[in-house]
Amino acid sequence: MSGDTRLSVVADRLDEYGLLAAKARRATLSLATPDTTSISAFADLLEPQERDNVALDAVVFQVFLRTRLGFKDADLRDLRQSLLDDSISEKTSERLKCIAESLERERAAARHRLGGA
Amino acid sequence: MVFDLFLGALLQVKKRALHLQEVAVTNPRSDLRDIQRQCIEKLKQTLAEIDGLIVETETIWRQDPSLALDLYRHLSDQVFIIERNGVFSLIHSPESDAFLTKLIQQVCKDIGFPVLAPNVSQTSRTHYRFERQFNLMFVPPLESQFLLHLPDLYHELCHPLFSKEYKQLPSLQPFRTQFSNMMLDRTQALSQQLQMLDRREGPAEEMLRLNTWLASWAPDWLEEFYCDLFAIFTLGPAYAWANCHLCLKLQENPFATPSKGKVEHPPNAARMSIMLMGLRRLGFDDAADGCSALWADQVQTTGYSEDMAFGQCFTDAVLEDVVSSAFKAFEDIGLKRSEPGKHASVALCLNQAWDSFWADPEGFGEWETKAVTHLQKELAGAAS
Repeated sequence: MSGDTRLSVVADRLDEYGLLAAKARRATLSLATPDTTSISAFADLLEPQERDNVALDAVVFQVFLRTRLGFKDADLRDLRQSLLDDSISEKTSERLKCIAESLERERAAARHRLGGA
Repeated sequence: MVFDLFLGALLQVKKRALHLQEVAVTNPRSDLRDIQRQCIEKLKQTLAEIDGLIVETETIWRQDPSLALDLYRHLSDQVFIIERNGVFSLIHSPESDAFLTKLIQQVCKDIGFPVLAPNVSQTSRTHYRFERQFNLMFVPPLESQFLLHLPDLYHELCHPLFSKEYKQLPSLQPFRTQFSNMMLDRTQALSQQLQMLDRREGPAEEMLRLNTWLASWAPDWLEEFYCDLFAIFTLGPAYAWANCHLCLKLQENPFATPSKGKVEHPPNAARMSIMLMGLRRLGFDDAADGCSALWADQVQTTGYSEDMAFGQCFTDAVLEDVVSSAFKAFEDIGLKRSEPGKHASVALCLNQAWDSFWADPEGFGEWETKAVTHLQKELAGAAS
């Protein structure tokens, strides 16, 4: 009933997506411990969805990309494919950054409304 | 220099997490063990993440400082959430919380709730609130002495069913499938409308409005409707009356349908419509008629009326589909449905409270005090 529950749920969801996007970006850097799990988990969110075999997280994330960043089906397909390719292009890194920044803006706003720092 | 500040701040987050761990580990309250365990577990995970970032921090900063800051902010917020919700409850929850925690445990038993019953903490500064990360319900400090808002506990009780902790739970799969399919239906219907509008180069305002509805439905409005229907399904009319009571305290347009920016809650008029539909499906026609008349009066008194956007966004057909989907989801996971004349236990008390209120609104306070005492004794007996 309370608006705070809803807002807290929204903030938690943005935390999860945001952290995953940040980890996917981190995985594109040249670090001592490469993290392919995060890239693969992020790519799963971009998979096309069909009735009776729906991944709820993916539906919600794709709605985020469509409604906030104007993604179309082809954009989702291209980004997923390029993440699954062996080498990640500069364009893909830029797109990841853009998604992460958008998530971070909304996440920070939600946490602020909840009385965060 | 900024890097020094960043590194120092990261170490401060670690120090804070370690102190919180100390407080959580040494908490003596046996009735708060679940919260204590959650705090300890979450702090352990967060400290591991902080250590991971400390190790790689220079490399990440050199290549992309904005990414390093994003990772730091996530960890800092996580520590803040643990402190403000979990550890806060460990320190400040009054002893009287035990009554409401027992009450929610009894509700869970009565309705066949399929997952862990949450704890209740009377430390909310607003209305009722559920915190998924700690399976914890916050209610106002004196809530254990009143009955008319307690039906809202049933609404909040539905939120854990959406927790990611239970994502793989086999017994909840039918529920998740129903909800996910309904979500997909709504998003596809709205996406198709958007595509059609785009193809015929429709007005930008209309595009923005549909975009806003899509962003609001998935998943927030749908989840809220499910929670309302959960309360109707398991408790019956008392929840609809409690909603009228709550709306009386709010100064918002019950038909306000967003057109420019996502809103987390569906408008109250849409929620009331779906509750009334749910009551009628369960056979509570008299209560639905009474509640519908009260709601119409309430809306007329405030001077608001339905507009075209509301009618387009919340058609009866869409709302009826949501009711069908939600009730199927609840039945599929074995929840006990509320039926006219068959209430027992806590549901009986809360429905009787509203019957008693309507029989004598002025004298209700006295009845309520006695009923709360009786309920406390009953629950103490049930627990022993």
